[in-house]
This record gives sequence, C-alpha cells and structure tokens, in this order.
Amino acid sequence: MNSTVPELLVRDMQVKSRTGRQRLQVDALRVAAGECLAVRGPSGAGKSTLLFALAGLIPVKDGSITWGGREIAGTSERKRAAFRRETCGIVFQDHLLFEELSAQDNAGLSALFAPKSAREEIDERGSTMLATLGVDASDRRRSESYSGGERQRIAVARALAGDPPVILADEPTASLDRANADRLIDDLFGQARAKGKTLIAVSHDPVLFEAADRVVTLQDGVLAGP
Amino acid sequence: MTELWFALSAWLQDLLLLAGLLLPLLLVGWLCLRGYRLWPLLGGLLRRHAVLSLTFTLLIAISVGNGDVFIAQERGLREGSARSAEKFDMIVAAPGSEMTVMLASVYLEPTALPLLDGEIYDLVDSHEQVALAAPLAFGDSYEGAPVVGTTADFVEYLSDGLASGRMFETIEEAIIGARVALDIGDRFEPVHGDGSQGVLDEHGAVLEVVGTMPMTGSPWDQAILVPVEQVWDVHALPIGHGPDWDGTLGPPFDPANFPGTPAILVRADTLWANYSLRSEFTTDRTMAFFPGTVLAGLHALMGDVRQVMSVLAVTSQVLVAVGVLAGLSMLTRLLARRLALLRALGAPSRFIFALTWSFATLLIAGGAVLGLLLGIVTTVVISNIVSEQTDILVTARLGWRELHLVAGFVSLTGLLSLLPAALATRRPVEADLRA
Repeated sequence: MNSTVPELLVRDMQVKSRTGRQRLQVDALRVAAGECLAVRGPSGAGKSTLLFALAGLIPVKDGSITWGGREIAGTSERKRAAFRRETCGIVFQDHLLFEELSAQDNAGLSALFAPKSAREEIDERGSTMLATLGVDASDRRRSESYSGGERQRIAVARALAGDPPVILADEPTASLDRANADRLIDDLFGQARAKGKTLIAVSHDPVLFEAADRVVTLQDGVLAGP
Repeated sequence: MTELWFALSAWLQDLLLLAGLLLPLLLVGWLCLRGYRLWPLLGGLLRRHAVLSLTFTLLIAISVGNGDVFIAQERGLREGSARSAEKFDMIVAAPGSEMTVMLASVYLEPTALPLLDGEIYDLVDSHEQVALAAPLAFGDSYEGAPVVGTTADFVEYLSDGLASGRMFETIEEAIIGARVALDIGDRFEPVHGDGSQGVLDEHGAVLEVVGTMPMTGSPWDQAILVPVEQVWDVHALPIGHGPDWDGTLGPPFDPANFPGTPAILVRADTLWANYSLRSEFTTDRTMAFFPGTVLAGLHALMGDVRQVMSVLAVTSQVLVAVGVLAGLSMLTRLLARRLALLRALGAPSRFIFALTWSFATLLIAGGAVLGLLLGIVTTVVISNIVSEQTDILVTARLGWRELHLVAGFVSLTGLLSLLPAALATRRPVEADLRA
C-alpha cells in the first residue's frame, strides 16, 4: 500500500446519468493530505455519488479528480481498481460484509487479491485492527452473529487492513444507534488522525460533522462549500 | 505423428486423450486463478447458497450418471452376449430366422423350431471337416431351468472340462450349469415345457446329477444338460440308435432311428473350413449360419442406437449444463452486491471473473464427479439385475469412454461458464452497491 498520503484536487467534475441528466457537479474541491472532511447534504443531494466518484467507482468523463497528482477521471476501470487497491479504504453505510465469513476473513478480504508478498501483512493488520476496535474475533464465528455496531467496526477494520492513505466513508453511522455511532466516529477519526490518513465521510450525523476538520455541503448535486 | 500415436499403448492413448480433453479447462483455470486466494470466498458462497449449489450439482450428477450408465450398460450387454455366443461357431437348423434359431440355441429362449432329420444330421456329422456336430434338443425344464439334450462332447466343449463330478454315462444322468440349484447326487424329474405355458406335464423319468459345469457367464449356467437320447426317450420317440445299441451315449446315431433335432452345433476342424461348411450346409432343407455374424449385425444395430443415445445423453447433459449456467447467471445477480463490494475494495476484474467462473466450474466438476460415482454404483446394480434376468453375465463397468465423455462435458461447460463470469465483470458497480 502507498504510504504517502495524497492531496485530493477536484476540478470541473461532472457526473451524468445515462440519459444525460446531471447528477453531480463539483467546480473545485481540495482536501489536504491528512485532512478529515465531512460532506453533508439532504438525501438525494449526491453525497454517495461524490464519494463513489472520488473512489473511482463511477466513470467520470468530465473534469478532473487527482489524488496526489494521480488522475482517475477518464481512466480505465483497471486503473481505477488499482487506485482503490493501493490508496483507498471504503466503509459503507450497511457494513456490506460477507456474512458467512468470520470477522478475521472479512477484515483481511483484500488479501485475497493482493500480491502474495502483501497477504500476510494485510491479514495481520486486519486482526490487529479488529482487536484495536474491540471486536472479539478469536472464535472465528460468522460475521452475521455480531451486533450491528460490531459489524460496522469489522467493516472499518477491513477498510484499514490494507493501511490505505485515504479512507472514504459512506454514511458510516446511519445504521447504528447513538452509542455505537459515537464509538464508530471516535474509532474512525481516531485511526485516521493517529496515522495521518485523509478521511472523507459523507453523513447526516451532526456528531460526525463535529469530529471533522471541515464540513462541505452538497445541495442538488452541486457542492456549495461550507 | 500418426505413427507415433498408434505406437502408444491403448492405455496411454486413453490417458492422453483424457488429459487433452481436460487441458483447455486446466489452462483456462490456471490463467484465471493464478495469484489469487479464492477458497475462503468460494467456501463462503457454497455455504451461503448450499441448497442452490447442491441442486445444481445433483442435476449435473444425475445427467452425467444417466449418460454413463447407458453407455456402460450397452457395452456390458454387448460383451456379455458375445461371450455367451463365442462357443457357438456355426449352427445348422431348418431354414427360417437365424435370429430365432440363435436365440433358442445360444440363449436358450424357449421357441418351437422345425426339426432336422437323421439323414441331415448324419450328413453333417460325417463330413470330413466337421470336428463336432452336437444335436441340441430343447423343450423340457426343471423348476425353470431348461433341460437340453445333447452329447458329452458338446458338454466337454462348452464347459472346457467339468468343474466337479463326471460326465453323464447313462440316460438317467445329467450335468448341471453352475447356477442350477441342484447338487451332485440330487435327483429330479424334468417336466415338459418351460413353465411359461402354465400346467406342466411330468414325464415320469427321474434323473440324477453327476457333474457340474464351471461358470460360463451364459444362459447355459442355468441349464441342465442331459443325453439327447434321454429327451427323445421321455417323449416316447426312437432314441437315435438301432436295436443292437450297446448303451453307449452319443454319436454315431442311426439315421433311421433319429427322431430329429431342432439345431446342430457344428465346429469345423479348421477355422477356414467354417466358410465352406456354411456354404455346403446352406440348402433348401437346411440353414447354416455363424451366430457371431448374426450377433455382429445385432450389435451394429445396437451400435447405431448407441450413437443416437450417446448424442441424446450428451445433449441432455449440455442442456442441463446450459440450465445450470442460466441459473448461475441468475445467481451472479444475487451475488452482484458482494461482487461490487469486492470491486469497490479494489479487486481486479480478473478476480471477479475467477471467483464467478470457479464457483460455476466447481459445481459442474463436483456434479460430474458425483455423476461418475453415481454411474459406477448404478451400473453395478443394473448389471446384476440384467444378469439375473437374462442369465447373460453382464459385467458393465465404467471405462475410458465414459471418462472421456465426462471430461469433455466438464471442459465444454467449464468453457461455457466463461460467459456468465465475463458478464459478472461488466455489471455496474455503483448500481449494484446501492441495490
């Protein structure tokens, strides 16, 4: 994994639907290396679309998205997958775990397609992250047997197992109760800050906004700024 | 190259053919899977979709098993029927259906046949190129076992030497086939007919078992062989010898006292002589034929049917495989969110491709292996049933042909699975993640 934390620069980015409808427009966005940014906005404003575009999960043809000088807009899926593999850890709203696998297997999921030399390291870091986040994975039980809060922490451990310089979180607290949400925010931001990672989280959660270094707002698919 | 191929042993050719059939699959598998650790996810998918996976696997197993059983059984029956006829070089009978005479004389199927008289028998028996001319007289039975009148020479020839006891020496003595439920020393009373006509007429003659034949794997294992004179005697016919008969069984028979025989087994003293004998004994009063030739014609017909059935079997397997692949395509949709997650984590398209393909191929290969095992068990069971019902020893076993068929099937469907695997990589990640 690339240990250099990249700066994000977005310029004139547009995401359009297949029918040509504009879904997202970002004229300019800069996220400094190691910054924790929160993106807020009403439902349907395009928050997840922004996150997916930044992760290269949506092919962006108009504009520019550069991570530490590495352009991902207009590039092939192969290059974007390599970018995600090397640079991003993603946390989703509803955990998205392989429920039949153990917490350890889920945390080390990216080891399955990583180069052989990196596998052991990813597995070990996944286990360490689980322990750090307070998930007891010693009995190797199925992930579906864990509580919602624990499953989301497993998802965070999975995002961090590859030691990515960037963490992207899509409504990470949306499916949790307040106590679990607070703990997750502490874990997520704590890990990011402790290791100097860039964190971009989209959310409706005011507590998460308070934890962020900066908050930007999306309204009707347009980034309006803080 | 061709010369080199034919210089190899049959076993090696079969092995190489098997490897050749599997090679495309192995090559694709290596290209797809190299560098990835798929088993944790595959195991997880199998556990999560256990019922669906098992259903697919069983469908393929039944389809593969059915095809294998049919082919193996047909081959076993062909070999068994050929083995039963191998001692019957040539049959001379009254003109008619060669098939009917063959079924009656080789396979002991109860049939009423016209008789050849003593003059004809004498002509055949006294021919200088004939080494053995055995009359075969049918029509009696004992508890379902056909009682066949013949000569000691024929019994000796058929059995290649008795398994136990001695040859019959009087008309009250009998030799039994290996599967007849009698022992040496047992006495029994044959009846007229084979039991299929309902009421049986007892002749009143009591015979004693004095010897047993070894297992021949033919319907003759269920037969009781008696001196032909005994059959004629209990039917109140002349017994083939003149008034000055000294009691010695078998030929020479007196044409004037020869009551007739439905068939004569003829064995020439040399192989090539069979053809001239067949020509000589094919007249307006007699029909001479080689049971092997009749059987070959029957097998050729069976061979044609086998080809058709083989095509049908393969077609059904391919149809099942296509059905399974269609199912897998649907399953791929079920897996879409998980596959999208893997892609979001940075999994290369080849990893998604390898995961989907190996899942499909695992089910297909598992089904094929299970089908082979199912085929082996079913083949043995059916062989035993067929042997029991026909008295022809059917030793059907799965062979290279079936392995080749299964290997071809696995390879073909494994390659077909590339399609749903390729489709899985082309799904929209964002839409699947939000699904």
